Amino acid sequence: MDNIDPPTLVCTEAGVFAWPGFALVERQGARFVRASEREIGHLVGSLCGASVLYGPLVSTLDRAARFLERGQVEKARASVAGLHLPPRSPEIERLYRRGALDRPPPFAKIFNPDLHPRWPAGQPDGGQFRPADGASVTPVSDPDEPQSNRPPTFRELNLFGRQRSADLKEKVLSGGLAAAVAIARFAAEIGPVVTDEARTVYSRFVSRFDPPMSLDELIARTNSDHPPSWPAYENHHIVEVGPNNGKIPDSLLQSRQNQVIIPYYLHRDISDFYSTPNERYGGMTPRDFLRGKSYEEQYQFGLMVMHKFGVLK
Amino acid sequence: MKAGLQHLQDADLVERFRQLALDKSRYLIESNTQPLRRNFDDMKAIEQDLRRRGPESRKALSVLLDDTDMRVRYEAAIRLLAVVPDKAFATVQAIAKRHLMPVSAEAAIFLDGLESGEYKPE
Repeated sequence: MDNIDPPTLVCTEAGVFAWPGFALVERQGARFVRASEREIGHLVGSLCGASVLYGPLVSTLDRAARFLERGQVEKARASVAGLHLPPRSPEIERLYRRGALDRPPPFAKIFNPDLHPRWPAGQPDGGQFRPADGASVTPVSDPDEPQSNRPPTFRELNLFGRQRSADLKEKVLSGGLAAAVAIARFAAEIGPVVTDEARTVYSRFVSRFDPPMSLDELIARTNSDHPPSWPAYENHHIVEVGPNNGKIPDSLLQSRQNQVIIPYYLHRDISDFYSTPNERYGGMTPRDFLRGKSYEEQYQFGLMVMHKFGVLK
Repeated sequence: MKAGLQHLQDADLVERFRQLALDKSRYLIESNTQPLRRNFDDMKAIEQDLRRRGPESRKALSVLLDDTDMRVRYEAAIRLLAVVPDKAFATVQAIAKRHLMPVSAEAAIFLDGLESGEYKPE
């Protein structure tokens, strides 16, 4: 559990809950049942970034559920406390706080577990009281909704994720849509079945929404103990390695200053930009335009490109 | 594509140009960079053929400045800067202000080139 007050995850004898009150593990009769990976991805991924989906979050929740079933609340609490989640996204947190996601989440008052839980907002019975031992943990979006948009192959799914993330981010940054709503909409579009492929695409979708960072922040994140990782992120060389092999020393090309981990789809966008003939550069690709230029010139060019693509502040 | 262009009407060339811009979007979303050289050369060939036909034909691409597709508007605008400068510039500027990647970033980089004088429309 992180040290932010209130914490992102809370474990009680009633289950494990994500701020601001969504059940990740909850009692169903004698058992404790974990929410679907998709729902966990949606809730915690949107709060803390896609990288949490690749840590031990789901397995820890399963372990906590087993402890809770045995009445070992302290052990369950300790398991959850052992998770080191990234800080919550201030933007998403603001959206939740001002109620941009319809009604308050069902367990908003989890610190008083005696209160009767409600069905999540967005469901047919949204906001209504429900039995404590309901039949299942209900996802925020309707899993029975026809998923006609879901492409059948990973390649198509990945292209769909790349296109949709670009379109929806444009709407978000233009002020036409809240980020949390865009993420929830995409989660609904890719369908209720959680596969590794869908999880990959979902994580890539979410990472595109990362706000731009300063160069120092990007480098620090890249070299932190828990850097974001593939498949949601990729390592980006600010000065490209391939065309400069043997011309610029490896000590520069592989230096900490020249490598940053950035969102996957944005990395694809930038790489493709370098490979595409461009009227601005007399019909050359930017890669060819840079050929033979100094490390410093190429570095400044690389920073400019990252800035224009919304990776760098 | 170059061969045979001269037999086409201006409107046909414009439609071909539009299709090439849409193809470019598709290649980019697929990271299929192999056909992009040919795609660029084909757009260039259409631009040059219209230029060869005279000022009125050269303006034919300007109908694409109102296209619903942002990539189509952008590809037309950067080739019309010397022909309908105000509208073409405003189109590039508007796309750069949006956040649709990658075309908005390309437009922003293109604008920098124009403003610094490194790129001169002809």
